[in-house]
Amino acid sequence: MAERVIGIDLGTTNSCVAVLDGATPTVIANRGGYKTTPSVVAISESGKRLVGHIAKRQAVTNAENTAWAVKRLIGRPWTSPASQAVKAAVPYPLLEGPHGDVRIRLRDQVFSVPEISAYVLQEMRAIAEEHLGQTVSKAVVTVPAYFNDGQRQATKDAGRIAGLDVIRIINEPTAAALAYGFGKKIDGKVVVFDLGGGTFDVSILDITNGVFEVVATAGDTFLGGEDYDKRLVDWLVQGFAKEHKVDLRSDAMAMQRLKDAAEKAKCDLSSVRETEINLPFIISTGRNQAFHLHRVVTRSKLEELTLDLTERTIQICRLTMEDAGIRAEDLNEVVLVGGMTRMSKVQELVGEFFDREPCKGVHPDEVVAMGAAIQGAALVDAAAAPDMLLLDVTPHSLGIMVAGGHFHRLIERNTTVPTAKSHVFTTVRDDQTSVKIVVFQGEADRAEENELLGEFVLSGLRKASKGEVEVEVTFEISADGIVSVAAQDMETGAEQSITVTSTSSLTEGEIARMATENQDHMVAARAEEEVEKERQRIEKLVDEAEALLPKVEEILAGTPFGEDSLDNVRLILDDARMAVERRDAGGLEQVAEPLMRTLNMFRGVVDSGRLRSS
Amino acid sequence: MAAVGKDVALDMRQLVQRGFDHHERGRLHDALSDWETALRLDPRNHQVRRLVEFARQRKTEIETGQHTPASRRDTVESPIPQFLAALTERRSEGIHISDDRKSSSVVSETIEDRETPQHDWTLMAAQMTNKAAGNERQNDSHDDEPSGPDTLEDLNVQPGDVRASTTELIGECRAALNENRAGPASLAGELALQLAERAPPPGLDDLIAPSLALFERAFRAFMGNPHTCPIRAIATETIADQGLDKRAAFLMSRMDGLTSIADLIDSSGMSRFDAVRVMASLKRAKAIDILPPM
Repeated sequence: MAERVIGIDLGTTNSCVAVLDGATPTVIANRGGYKTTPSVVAISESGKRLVGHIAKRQAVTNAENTAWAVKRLIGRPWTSPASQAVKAAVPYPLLEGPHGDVRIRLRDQVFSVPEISAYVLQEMRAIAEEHLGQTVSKAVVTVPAYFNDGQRQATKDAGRIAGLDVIRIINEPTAAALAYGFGKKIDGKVVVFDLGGGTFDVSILDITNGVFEVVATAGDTFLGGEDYDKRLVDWLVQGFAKEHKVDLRSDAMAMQRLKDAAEKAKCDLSSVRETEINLPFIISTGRNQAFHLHRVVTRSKLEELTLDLTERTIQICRLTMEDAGIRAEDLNEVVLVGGMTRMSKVQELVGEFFDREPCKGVHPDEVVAMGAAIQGAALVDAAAAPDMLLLDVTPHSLGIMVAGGHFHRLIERNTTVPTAKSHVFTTVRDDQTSVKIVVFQGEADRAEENELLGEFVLSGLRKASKGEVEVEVTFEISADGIVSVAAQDMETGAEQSITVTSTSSLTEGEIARMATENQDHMVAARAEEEVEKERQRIEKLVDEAEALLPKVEEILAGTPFGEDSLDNVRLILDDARMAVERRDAGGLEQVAEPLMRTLNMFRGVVDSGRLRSS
Repeated sequence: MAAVGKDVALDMRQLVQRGFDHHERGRLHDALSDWETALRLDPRNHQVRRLVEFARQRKTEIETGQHTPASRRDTVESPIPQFLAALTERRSEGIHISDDRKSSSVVSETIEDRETPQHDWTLMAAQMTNKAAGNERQNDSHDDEPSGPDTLEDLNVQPGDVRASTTELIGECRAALNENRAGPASLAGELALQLAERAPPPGLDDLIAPSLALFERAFRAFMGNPHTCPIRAIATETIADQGLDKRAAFLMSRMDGLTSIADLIDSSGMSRFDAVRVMASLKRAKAIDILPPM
C-alpha cells in the first residue's frame, strides 16, 4: 500500500489532521468523535503525559503542569518580547534554555518547546494511523504566514521528535485557500480571515492559474477564541458573586468547570439565540452547603461582551488592506478560517468590512488541515492535484548587518519563495582578512532592532585597502521558507555558508535524543496497553471461573475428583486474581495457561452435570 | 472540496449529552431513546453503542429486580452515615441524635464517663457488605422515623474511642481486602479516614499515614477495572446531601462515558489518593454507573 501523507494543522489551541481520500480531503475525528484536538500537553501527578482533550479538561486544576498555546513560543528566543509576554500570561513556568531558547517545566521535567509540539503532532499522527490502519511517517504541517525561519525550523524539529518526516511546511492561509480552491477554478484575490482559539491572522492571496501567492499577511498572536471565553467567564463570575457573595476565582475546580461551560455556551450560541449554563454544586460553604450556578446567556449578550475583540480583528484587516494597497472591490472572495468565525457577529462585521458575504463553503476549523493534506498528496503524487503550484512569500525582509550597524535588505518581505538573491559587499577596513556575516530578519533600518537569525565568518581574505576585496553574499529561501546564506570571496572562490537555524533552535544531538526518548515513551505506553489488554482478558476468565466454581463444587462433591483438586484450582484462581489486581505482567503470563485449563475443565464439568440431570 | 453539510457529529454529541441528562435524573427510557437515535446517526460509533448496550442491560436488570437505582428523593442516603449511626448507637446509648434531619445536631450527653462497649465488628462487616452490595437501601417509608446524623461531624465520639475504632477499621479494611471483599474494604477505609479526620489533637497520623497505601488499594479494588468509564447516575445537585463535597461534583462534571477511571484520576487536579477515594464514595452512593472500557 502506498504511504499516505497526512496534513496537520498544528494550531495554537487546537490541531486537526486530514488525509486525501481518493480525490476528497477528509478530516479525521479522534476517539471522542471530535475533529479537532486541543494542542494541550500536561503531566499528571503520577507522571503520566496527557495530550488533547484530557489535558485541556484539567488545565485549570493542574495549571502549573499544563502547557498550552506553546505555538506562541516555538522558535522564539528567550529574550524576545513575545516570549516574555507569554511568560507573563501563562501559569506554567518558563525558563531559559541552554541555547537562549525557551524551556517549559512541567512537574520535575524540563521540555523544549518543539518537544511539547511534538507530543501534539504525535497525537495527530496516532489519530490518523488508527483511522487509516497503517503507519504514517510523512506529513505536511502548516504554520502562520508570518512565522520566521526559526519558527519554521523549530516546527520541523517538532516533527522529527514525533517521528514524522515533515516533507513541507506551508502557510496556513495558503492551505486554507488551497482547500477552498481545490477542484474548482478560482482566480483573483482572496482574503483569508483566520480567527482561531488563540490567534488572529489575516492574509491576502493572489490566485492565478493554480498559483497561490500570499501578497500580504498580518495578525495578533494574542487574540482568539479564548479571549471570548474569558469575557463570558468574567461575566459569570461577577454574576455569581453578586448573587451569592462568593468569589469563584478562588476555586480552581470551579474555574475549570466555568471555562469548559463558557466555551461550550459560546459554541452553542453560534447556532441558537440563547443557551443555559448549568453547573450544579460548583462550590460549597464550610458546612458543605452546595451552590449551583444556573444562568441563561443570549447571543446578543455574548456579542456585547466581546464586541471590542471582534472590532480589533477588523482594524487589523483595515491596516493590512491599506498596507497592501488593496481595496475591498479588488477582492474576489473572503474565506473564513478558525472556529471563532462561526460566530454570527464576526461574520457580520467581516461581511460589512469587505463588502461581501464571506464564503461558507468549507468548515472553518478543518479547512487548513485539508489544504495541508492536499499539498501532501500532491508532493508524493503529482496526479493527486494536477496543475497545482504553491507559491508562498517570505513574511519578513532578510538581510545582513553592514557598517554602522545598518540593516541591508537582500530579500524584501512578501517576495515569493523559493527565491535567491545576491549582493556584492566590500571590506570596510584596510588589511581586513575576514568578514562577519550577521543575518537578520525584519523591517527596521537598525540591524539590531530586527531578529537575529545567525552569523558566520568568512576568513582568509587577501590583505588590501578597504573597498578593494569583494565578497558576494547570497540568500536562498527554500519552499519551506528555510533560509540559507552563503558568502564567497570573489577573488579566491573561498566560500562559507550556513543554513540558518535560528539561535534558539535545538542541536542535532538534542533532537535525536528527544526523538529517542519520545520513542521509548511510546514503546513503554504501548507495552502498558498490552498488559492492560491481557489483564482484562484474564479478569474475564477469572470472573467466569469463579461464577462456575460453586456449581462445580456441587457436582464434584463426593466424587473421586476430590477436595485436593478443588483446592488446586482455587489456588490457581487466587493467583490469577492477584495478578489481575497487581497488573503484574509476569504473573498474568504465568496464570494464563493453567487458568484456561481450569476454565475448560469447569465448563466440561458443568456441561456433564447438566447432561446427567437432564 | 468537502461541502459543509449538517454536522451529524454535533447532533450525535448533543443526543448523547441529553441522554446523560435523562439518565442522571432516572429517566432511563428517555436516555435509551436518545442514545438509540444517536446510534442511528452514527452506527459505527463505539461510544454510543456502549451506551445503548448499557441502558438496555440496565433496563432488564431493573425489570428483573437485579438492580435498584439510587433513590430519587432530594436526599439520597449514603451508607456511610447510617453505618456510623449504628456504630455510635451501639457504643454510646447516651447519645441522642436529633430527629431534625436538617440540623442533625447532637443534643444530649456525651459518653465521657461510660465504659467502652464491645464492638460487634462481625455485625458491622455484615452491614458493610450489605450496604456495599446495595441491598439495604432505605426506602421512602422510613422518612418518618428518626434518622441518623448526616455526617461524622455530628457524632460525638470520644478520643480514645476514635483511636480504637480507627484501628479496628484499618484491620477490617485489610482483612476484607485479603478476602477480595472490595466493597467492605473500601467502606472500612473510608470510615477510618473520616474518623481520623475528625480526631482531636494530636490526631491519628501515626495510625493513618502507614495505612494510606492500604486504603488506596481498597478504593482501587472497589472501583475495579481502571479502564472502565463512569457516567453520572444521579443529579449532581443532590450529592451534597450525601456528605459528598464539591470535589465529587467536579469529578462528576468530567464524566462523559469516554473518560476512563484512570484518566479521570489523572486529570482530576487532586492527588491520586483523593481522586480515587472520592470516586469510591460516588460509587458507594450509587451516584455513578460504570461502562465497559472503550
